[in-house]
Amino acid sequence: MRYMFIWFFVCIFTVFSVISPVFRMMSNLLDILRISAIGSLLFLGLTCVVAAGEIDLSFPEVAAFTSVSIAYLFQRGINIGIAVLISFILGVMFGVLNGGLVSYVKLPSFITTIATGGMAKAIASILAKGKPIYVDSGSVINKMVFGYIFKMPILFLIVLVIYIFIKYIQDSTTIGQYIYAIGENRKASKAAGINEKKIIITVYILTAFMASLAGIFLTGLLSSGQPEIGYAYLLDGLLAVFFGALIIKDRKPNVIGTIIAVIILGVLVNGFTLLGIPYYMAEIAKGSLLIIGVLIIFIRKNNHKVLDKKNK
Amino acid sequence: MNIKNFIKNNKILIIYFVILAVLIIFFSKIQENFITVRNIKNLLRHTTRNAFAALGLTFVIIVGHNDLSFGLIGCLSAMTTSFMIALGQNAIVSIIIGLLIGAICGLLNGYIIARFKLPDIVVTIGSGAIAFGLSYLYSKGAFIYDNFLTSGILGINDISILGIPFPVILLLIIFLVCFYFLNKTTIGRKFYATGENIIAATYSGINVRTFIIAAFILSASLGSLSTIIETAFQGRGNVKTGMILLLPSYATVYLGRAIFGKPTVNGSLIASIFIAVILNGLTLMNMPFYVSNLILSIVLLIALILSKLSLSARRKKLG
Repeated sequence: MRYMFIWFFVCIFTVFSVISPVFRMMSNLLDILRISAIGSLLFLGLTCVVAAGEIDLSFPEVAAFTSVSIAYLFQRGINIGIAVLISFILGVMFGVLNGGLVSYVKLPSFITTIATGGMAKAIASILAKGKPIYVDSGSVINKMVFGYIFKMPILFLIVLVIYIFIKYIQDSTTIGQYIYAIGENRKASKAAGINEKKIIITVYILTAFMASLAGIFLTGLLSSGQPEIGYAYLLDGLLAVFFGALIIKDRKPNVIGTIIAVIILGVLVNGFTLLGIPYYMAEIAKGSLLIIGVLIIFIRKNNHKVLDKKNK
Repeated sequence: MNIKNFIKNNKILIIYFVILAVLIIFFSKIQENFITVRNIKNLLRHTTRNAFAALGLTFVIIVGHNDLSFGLIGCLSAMTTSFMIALGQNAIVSIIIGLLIGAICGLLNGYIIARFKLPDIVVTIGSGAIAFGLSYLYSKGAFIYDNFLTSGILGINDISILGIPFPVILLLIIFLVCFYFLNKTTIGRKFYATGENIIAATYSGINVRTFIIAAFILSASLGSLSTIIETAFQGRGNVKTGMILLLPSYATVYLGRAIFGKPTVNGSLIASIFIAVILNGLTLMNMPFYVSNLILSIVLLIALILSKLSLSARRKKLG
């Protein structure tokens, strides 16, 4: 199954390279890596949340909030470093809010994160009065985002390091295993003594953490605070997480799969744009891929469940 | 004695009316325009738009699922109707085709989710994206104006029976049908049963798959009805018509659920009035849309927490 997708990817990549000379250019390919880096960050936390069996629909708005908050503070003369720090902490607060509401008040995660996401977005829009705030921050952030080390975008390398760290946690620590356990069977995990409340809060804080980080980089990338990040990232995020689950860990959401899926998505979207395929066609493709991906994952899962019952 | 009991049993309902009254007084003090005929008509218009979509969503929530796509499916249906009108079809046929497209999308949603037991949130995000992308195909995303004046579709909004605008009458009819259906028939009970405990419902002989599919069809169709009526009001086909339905509809259904203890059509109806009053008042105060979003999110959160509290209170009573 996983090999099918790798071949699929190789084919698409070849096709694009042949058809579009711009695609082949190193600068374009590095661009894809750099843009994928921000997406990867955003979806990293989401991967863990989905692995734990919950969902978080607020992460794009948290990123937007952080992005706008930095621009807003900077515009008012606050030192960029402090602006970043304050905005980052505020962004992570949303994770605390989400985690608290879902695990302690036991609200359904889906609708709660829609509400908190709505609040984050609304605050961002209020600060920015609905439009992006442009800042000229020719500073550390800019260098991080646009710079290159050994010809690779620094941003991508930073994200890579973060990913390796999280992968380590995911596979080689108890907490990683606990996250998957909670995702598989909440009640059994609780009965086994796992403190599911703490773990749920942790994954939500992780998501907000990563989303805020992504927001910081976005501000640098676009030289502005963007209040309208939103819905598109939601689709992309879920697509990356579920496709990542398919590719690597045999249907469990995992971080390496997510980052690979993000890169594949980046290649696809880039190719589409260069070939002149309009944006909405990409939307249709993404939506279809998401449904197909979920179908494949869950058909297998449900078949296994049926088998178990028969064996009993 | 009777009044005391009534108050005890319907605490939240009473609070609701009180808050509604406070809101109305507040808005009319701040803006003299609030209690004018023109604004009341506006208010009714917002209420109907909200209420149709919320009504459909109510069914999905009753069967214990979620639907994020009804607004985007509504975009597709609205654009389909506009396209048909531009092609020269008469208004009624175009509307029917638009509604049909919506129903088909709902059918697909429901079938995939029910048959394969997929997570409804993810699937409807995907199907919503597909529907939204498809709606661009008609005109590459541009507004569709052709033939609108001549086709008679504008009449939908302008017709008044006994002074009440047609959409409101339509809403009342549909609401009464749904209310009777859900509360007074066995089929209605089966909807609730599916949502409460799907395993028990299956073992009771209820074909839960049918009900889930039906719920999704209703949500997509009523969402389409909402966008088509909005299109008739705007006088043009707009790809983004249905995009703003999601948050208000969810806030409405959950507010209704907080009031009545479970998702109901009457709850959704009176909640939609509440939400429409808030949105209308904020617009009159020239507050930009993102402020309304903030208020809606807060209302949604409060409704959620209220529902949770009353649920746990009831569980404690049962011991």
